[in-house]
Amino acid sequence: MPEPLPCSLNEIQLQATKAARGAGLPWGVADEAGRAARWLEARGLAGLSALDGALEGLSGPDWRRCFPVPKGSAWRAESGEIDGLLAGMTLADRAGLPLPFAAGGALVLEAVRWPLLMAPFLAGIVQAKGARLAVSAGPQAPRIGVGPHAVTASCRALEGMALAEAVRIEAWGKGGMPPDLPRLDGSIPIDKEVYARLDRRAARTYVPESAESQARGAGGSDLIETD
Amino acid sequence: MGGPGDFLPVPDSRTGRTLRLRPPDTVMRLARLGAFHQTRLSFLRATLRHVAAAGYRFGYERWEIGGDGVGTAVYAARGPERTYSLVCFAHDLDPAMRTDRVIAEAWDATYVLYDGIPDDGEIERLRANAPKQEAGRYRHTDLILSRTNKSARLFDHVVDCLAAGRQPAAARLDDVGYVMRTTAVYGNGKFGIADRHRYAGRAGFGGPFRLEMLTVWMIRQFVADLVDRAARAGGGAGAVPLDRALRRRLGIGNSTGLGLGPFIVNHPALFARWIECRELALGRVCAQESAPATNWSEFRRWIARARADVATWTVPDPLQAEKIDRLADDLDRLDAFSAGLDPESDAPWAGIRDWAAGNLSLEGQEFAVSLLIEPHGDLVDDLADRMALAETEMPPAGLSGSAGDLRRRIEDGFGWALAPDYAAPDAQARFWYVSANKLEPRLGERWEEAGADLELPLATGRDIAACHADLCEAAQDEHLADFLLRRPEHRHTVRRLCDPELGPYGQIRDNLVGADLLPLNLLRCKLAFFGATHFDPKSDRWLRINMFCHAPYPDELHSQPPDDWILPRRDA
Repeated sequence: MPEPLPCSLNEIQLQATKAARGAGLPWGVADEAGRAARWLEARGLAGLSALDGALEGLSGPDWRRCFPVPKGSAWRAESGEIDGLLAGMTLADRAGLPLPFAAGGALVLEAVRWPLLMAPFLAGIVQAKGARLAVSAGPQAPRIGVGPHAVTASCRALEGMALAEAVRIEAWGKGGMPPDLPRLDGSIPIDKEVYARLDRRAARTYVPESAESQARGAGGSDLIETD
Repeated sequence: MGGPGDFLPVPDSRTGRTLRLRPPDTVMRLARLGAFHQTRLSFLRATLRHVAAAGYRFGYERWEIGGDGVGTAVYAARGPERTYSLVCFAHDLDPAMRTDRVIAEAWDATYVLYDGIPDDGEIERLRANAPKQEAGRYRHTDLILSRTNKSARLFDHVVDCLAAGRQPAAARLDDVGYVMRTTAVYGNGKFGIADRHRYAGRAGFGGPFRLEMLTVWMIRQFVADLVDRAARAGGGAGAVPLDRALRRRLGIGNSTGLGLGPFIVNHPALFARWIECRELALGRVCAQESAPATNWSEFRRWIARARADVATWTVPDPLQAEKIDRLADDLDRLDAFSAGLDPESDAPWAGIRDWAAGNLSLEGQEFAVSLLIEPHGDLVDDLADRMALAETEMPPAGLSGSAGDLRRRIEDGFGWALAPDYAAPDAQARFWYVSANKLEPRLGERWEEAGADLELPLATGRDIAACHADLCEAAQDEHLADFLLRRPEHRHTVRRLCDPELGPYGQIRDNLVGADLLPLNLLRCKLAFFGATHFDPKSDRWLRINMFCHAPYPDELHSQPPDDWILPRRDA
């Protein structure tokens, strides 16, 4: 395996944003993807890799059908598989509305692609609402604690998980939570292959300069400053 | 600007008073923003005040520059808590390679501002990367990355004069203003360097772009030392060092293109904070009923200094030259008008602001803002430390309100965005994109060039209008979360409109893709906040500037006043 590429968090965020836009997502959604990837990588979680996997499924014209339909206590997607990023956004947007897990119940999301991408949004909900959450991605999967902008180390179980049959979210309840994953502070090691794949997606947002544009001197591009 | 009702009431956290600020409809127009000048709050001035006040000491850690001008130098800035080192690599660049294009491949000198003092191993790591700039890879100990090229007009001339044992003519120095130009100053995580949040909490460096400014200022010292070294190499014992007073006439040049433009649009809350602090400073000054004699005479002296400085600001660009002529005339009239005021009883500061609004050009009005703020350091300098925002990892969870609520907010507060007829070709004549050739933002012609489907989200007004149209179609009680579930393409606009950090000055109230867009205004506004001077437009989309011209150097910071150099005394 090649040596990882040390990246800054801002670089990770920009790379993820551009890649998501390159995959065809609208700018606002791409921006959320960038923030989520940064949030995860800042805690040592493979956010870029998960995003890269998710973008594979979101690249088609019917990506909107991967949003969960937020009805009742079991959410499904029209496409049959909920995307983790879109699920996270949908949940976070509704933090001020009555969500099933806020009232002592549980919310189950059925068939979730790349569930790791939900974590930053859930941690944002806890930040806003105060009550810690427990997440599990299957009956055998470990329980993941979500605090205000924090997750427990068991969240690593979601790394590399391309599909969870069901993700269950409920209040953590009583009892102490294991320690949160520590925050990293830069020079984050990123898998070079993942980075290169995202680079290729990002490149789809670039526009070749036309001859007209170059002739116009599109802003320093033709500037041969020898003065 | 009309009657008092036109002002925006804003509480001043320092005094508890409500200040009357210029309203966003007046301030947030691109033509006005593009007429801004540096002020006391500008980032490079705030940086210098900080390093002087904190007692920073500057020294040479390493000076291994050969007679050929090639080698390594390390300068250390030692503060009370931290030391920052500027690691400099001087190269032997073939003049044919000297281009200021961001995507160049070689430069006369390359730099890294390093967190602490680098050991030999770290210097070797940087030597393997910094000369490659964007193609290198960096770590979180590397704070800022930069490079400079020599001015073909001036560098060799100055060296030749000094080598021959004589000083260059001041007029020749003033004509160019620098012997080297930065062609990029990278911060905030680019290519692996430190993220801003690593140092944003450090005393004195929380303000925007402070470490970038420190880097440029230390580069200026290196450039001066490089000139003296080259002169000694050429002239031997007969060479003289550049006279200190002459040396101060040299800043660091910079050529800036469209790459700078999107920042202030993409960071609306941060940009709003910059504007609000500047307007708060003006508001505090103008809230004073009378002018103490010392402030008043200082203000009058600043007008004189401004008139002398503007007289030296000459540019070939006919449009800007005309604006400068008008500005010179404005300053004469400001001098005459203020001479007739009674500083004891006329509420002179507000009087000048209001008179300027009705009588001067935009350049003149905004220069008057800088001059009104200038003698009031005690009153306003704290605002320079309030111009940054704490970074949030994720936006606050939870959207509130309905489609109807947001629709009404847009109708009440964003009339400027709804006004243009975006179906008209001129209203969307341009589009911003990232160039595949240069990986830099560029501006295209929508109806003539391909690529508009990949445009950057800078058409804020058009996008607000499009969002508004769909909000009108929505059930008015539909929750915003449901609206975005149906219409995720409006997410960036809804986020922008619902950003809780967005203050009253949150949007540039102009069409940023219209046929009449002058992109230079975006660049100039940001550069004015940096503290750049002598704007010299070279087209509608790039300009040359000067930074730290007339400022003290690091090696004289404690023998020269740190913040009395802008608009220099011409008798000095």
